[in-house]
Amino acid sequence: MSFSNVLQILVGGLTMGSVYALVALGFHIIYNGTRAINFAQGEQVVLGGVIALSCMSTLKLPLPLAFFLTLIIGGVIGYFYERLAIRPNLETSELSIIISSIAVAIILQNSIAVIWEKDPMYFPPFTKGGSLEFMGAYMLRQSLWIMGITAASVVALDRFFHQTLLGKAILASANNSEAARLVGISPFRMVSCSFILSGCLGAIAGSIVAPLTFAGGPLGTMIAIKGFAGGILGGLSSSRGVVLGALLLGILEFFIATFISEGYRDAIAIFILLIALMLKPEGLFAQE
Amino acid sequence: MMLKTENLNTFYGKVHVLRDVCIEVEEHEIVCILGPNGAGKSTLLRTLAGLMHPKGGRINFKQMNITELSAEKIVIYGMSLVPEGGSVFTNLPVIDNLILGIYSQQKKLSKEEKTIRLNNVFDLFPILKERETQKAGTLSGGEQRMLAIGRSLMSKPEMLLLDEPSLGLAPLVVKDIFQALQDINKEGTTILLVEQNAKATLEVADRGYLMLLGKVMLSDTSDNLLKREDITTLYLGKKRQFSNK
Ligand SMILES: Nc1ncnc2c1ncn2[C@@H]1O[C@H](COP(=O)(O)OP(=O)(O)OP(=O)(O)O)[C@@H](O)[C@H]1O
Ligand SMILES: [Mg+2]
Repeated sequence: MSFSNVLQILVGGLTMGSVYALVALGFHIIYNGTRAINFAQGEQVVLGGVIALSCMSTLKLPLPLAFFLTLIIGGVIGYFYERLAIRPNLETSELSIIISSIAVAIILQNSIAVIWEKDPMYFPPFTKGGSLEFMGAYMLRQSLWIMGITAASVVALDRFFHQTLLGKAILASANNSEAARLVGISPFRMVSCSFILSGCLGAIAGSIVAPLTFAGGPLGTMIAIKGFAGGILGGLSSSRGVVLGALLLGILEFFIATFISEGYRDAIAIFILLIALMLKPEGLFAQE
Repeated sequence: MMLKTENLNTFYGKVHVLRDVCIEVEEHEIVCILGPNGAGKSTLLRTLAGLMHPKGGRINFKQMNITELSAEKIVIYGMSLVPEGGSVFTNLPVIDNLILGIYSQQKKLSKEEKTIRLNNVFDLFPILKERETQKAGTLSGGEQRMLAIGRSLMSKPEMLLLDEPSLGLAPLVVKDIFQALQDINKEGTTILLVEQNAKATLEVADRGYLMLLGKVMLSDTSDNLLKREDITTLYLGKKRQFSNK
């Protein structure tokens, strides 16, 4: 394998890996706050894509504004999602939260099909122009956007959790909700914040990936499985773990699709998910 | 009167734990509650702090009825509980644990005031200063207990509730912690302390209550309770021989 091959795999793999990383971070935040898996995460990504598209085509907003508005709408939807579907179950069991999230996933999926379209819709790349060439490897301009925005989101999220009082309070409440209450933190409110954050992450992932996958359509399930597999691979309880796991999955997936068979592209995530759950359920990089 | 409970009755589901508990704590006092395992001491503190709510009875704190208030609210009014075992945030560094202690008042406090409070805690427990950036989960049991007390002090409570702060700690550490409690009390904080370590506790407390099976059996000054050898040996037993000195 030549150097340009390796570079090509890295670029291609990190592009989708970045999207999986945002999805995996969404899973991680909800898992931390509730010990449950948010099955609506994938549909929240799809929703991000179609909302961004509508902001541009219907509201005629320029891309940066559309992106920003989508982010906010994603957070608002996350807020109402928690208030209406999660809050009533918070004091029962993780299982009831999971089931609620499946219900919300189905509702979102069908709402998207009704309000927008059943089939994927074209979404223009953030900047026009052909692929960039670098040392024999080709890269879509959108790849740069995806990697850049993901990197910025990861850094911002890390800052939020470790440098702001609210971020620390969310971590504290996840760690020991009773002790959190004793210092005045409302665990309900912290869960609410977690859902807002994961809604924002979904919106970001959905808008940046849409130029590659198109907006809408049946993308949600697959992207959720991949984000989840990446998260499990890295370790769902660690924010660093889920990002590394998702990037690794993206690279593996690209490698296999390119050098073995395109047909295995989607199977590899499920294969890795099973292997990871069997051999190392706590994840490769979890040590927080 | 700082704190007064009237006929508190608390249940875990159908299990009736606190039975008509009446206690009073005056301003600036150190009051202890003694009793064997299962007497309901923790349940009483948890009810006072708002983690549980009584089915009957009333809690007055500074002439205010706080019976129905949630734990998140009660800390704002100036009562803070150091729970059994400390319950620090193990995933966060020592400094963040302390800073979260002022979560309930964050908006009202100036930067200087926060620094002053931090330094007060570090003066009281210098080891916490050394461990400042370490995750709280990596601290020893005694250090975690100090951190939990420090976290409560950050909110500058008028009343501090402590659930067995000496449990499982080496005698020397226990001495340090009891000394710290006396210092905190001298600064003006009222203390209600739950302990099984009867002798050591009565030496620092002004008064004590003895609880048994969810009821207050008797209350007296520490001096009188200390004289009643029968009570300390009967109900609070052998433990003190190991854990005191
Ligand atoms: N979560 C619970 N569910 C049901 N019963 C409980 C629960 N927690 C405590 N109890 C019961 O309430 C009674 C009082 O418990 P509590 O923890 O208040 O005792 P304690 O005096 O603090 O004992 P210890 O000295 O062992 O800490 C016990 O009989 C206990 O079995
Ligand atoms: Mg107890």
